[in-house]
Amino acid sequence: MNLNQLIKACKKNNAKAQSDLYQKYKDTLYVLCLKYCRNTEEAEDNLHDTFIEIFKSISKYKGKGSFEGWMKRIAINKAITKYNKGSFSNIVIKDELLSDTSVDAESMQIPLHTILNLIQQLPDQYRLVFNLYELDDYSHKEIASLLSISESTSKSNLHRAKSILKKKLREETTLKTYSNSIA
Amino acid sequence: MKNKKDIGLVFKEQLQEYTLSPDNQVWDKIVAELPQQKNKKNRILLWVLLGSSALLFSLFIFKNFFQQGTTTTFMSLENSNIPCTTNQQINNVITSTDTLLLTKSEILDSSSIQYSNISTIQKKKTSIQNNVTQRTAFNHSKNTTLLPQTRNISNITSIKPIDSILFTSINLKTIEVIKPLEIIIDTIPIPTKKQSKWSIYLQSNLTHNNILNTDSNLDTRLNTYHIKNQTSFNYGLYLNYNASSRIIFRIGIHRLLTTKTYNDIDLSSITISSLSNATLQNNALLNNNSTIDLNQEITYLEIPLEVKYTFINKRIKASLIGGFSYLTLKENELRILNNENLSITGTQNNLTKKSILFNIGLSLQTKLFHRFYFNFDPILKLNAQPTNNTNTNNYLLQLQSGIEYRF
Repeated sequence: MNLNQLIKACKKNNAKAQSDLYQKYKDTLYVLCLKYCRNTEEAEDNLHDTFIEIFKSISKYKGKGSFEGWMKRIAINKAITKYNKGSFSNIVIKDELLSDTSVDAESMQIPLHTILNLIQQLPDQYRLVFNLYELDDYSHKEIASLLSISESTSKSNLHRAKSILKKKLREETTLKTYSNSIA
Repeated sequence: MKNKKDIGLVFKEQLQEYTLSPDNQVWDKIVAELPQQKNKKNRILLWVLLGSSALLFSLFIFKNFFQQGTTTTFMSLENSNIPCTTNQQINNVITSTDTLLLTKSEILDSSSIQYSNISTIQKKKTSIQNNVTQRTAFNHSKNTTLLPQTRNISNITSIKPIDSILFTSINLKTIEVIKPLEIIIDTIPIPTKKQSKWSIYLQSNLTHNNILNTDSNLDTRLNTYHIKNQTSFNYGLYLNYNASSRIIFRIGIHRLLTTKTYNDIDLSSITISSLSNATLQNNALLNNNSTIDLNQEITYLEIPLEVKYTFINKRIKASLIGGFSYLTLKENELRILNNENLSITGTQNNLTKKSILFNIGLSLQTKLFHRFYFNFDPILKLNAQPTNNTNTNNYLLQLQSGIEYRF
């Protein structure tokens, strides 16, 4: 069954097609949810809500644009709605963190799950801005609209998010180097 | 020279290769919630089951009333001078002793003493009377008894219904008065049809919201948009009191769901966050460049009090309906969906919690069978005060239909 047939069957609430669609996209959307959520549990909750919404509103998908992109936007919107309900925590960032956010790409020996953990540890608003801008190619204008913040706040949040990540990454690298040296 | 890259770009490149599967329980939970999408099918199935049950129940009631209400037993008597009925059991009740004995099985087994309805009984009475005349003439001409086992009885004091002498003995010597069979036949009680003045009417209806007036009481700027999905399914129950053959009072309890949808609202012309009579959550999530759909569902508990006046009382009864309904607001939901399926919920904040509907309509009724009637009632309802800050009237057209059962 190709994707169009799968979508058509899902629009008719075909259980087999729904299962196939889930199997096809669960990993992609789960990683997306992991990036936007604080931990595995929240990511699984978000994935659950995303697929429920997908099956509920798949009849509205008219075939314009990428189907995967459409699903990803639903997952992102679900995550944003979730964190928008609560108030964002105001983290005070020291000025010394607001520095250069480039890293040595060649020396990056950090496992992928560690990168994910670092993103998840970011304060909610920073994590959302970082993910939207850096990983999912949203503009600051779009982010500002989605999160009810100004564009300058979005830019500032992004910079702070990257500074935090760089600092944490340096700590991880140092720790790893130290572990290797004593080993 | 070291290759310096922005941390965001590095993370993006590395995470693109990252794959991880969620726990299997996630799909189990999704599947558990998916049947909600099949609710409509289940609801139809439920209605079919309810309908079938109601039909079976009504057939059961019909059969029971039919048999109990019209079964009649004849009286028994014996006298060689009094002609016998056509019933062989009655001929056999007299024995060679001085007692009159009739067993219940003999009565019940006799097909001749059970009739299917009143008209059959009346026809049978006429038939028996004719038979009596013929037999009397025959007996007198022969001057003999038809049945060798029968005895002469000089006097019969009274005639009792057969039920009262079941399994009892009557001493024939004490019988004093003779009553001819014609008189006895005339005393046979003919069951009369008695119906209570009360009836119950289970109805379902299609409610079309906002007819005659398409103005939005949510925001006047929405008046230019075409409203869709104004028809909803509702149901309820009436208790009727038939004061006379033409006047019926009825009170009920109904669910009244009103729905409407505005499609493709252009946000460049309307700022949703400033909808004048709506309280929304997360309104800033809407992208101002997008178009949105706005769905509204308002549910009331309706208690109608109405009078029906029948102006055509034939096979199909036609009546006028007038009255009012007391409405209590139960649910008030507003849902906005943008073209990326981002939804925002909220409420309309100017709805009156309690209001009155003025009802006027027509009722058509026809008998289905026995005590069951089919009703079709188109009713127009006016809510003069749906909101507490606008002068917008709301007209509803309800097409009610259902089954009425008369007790």
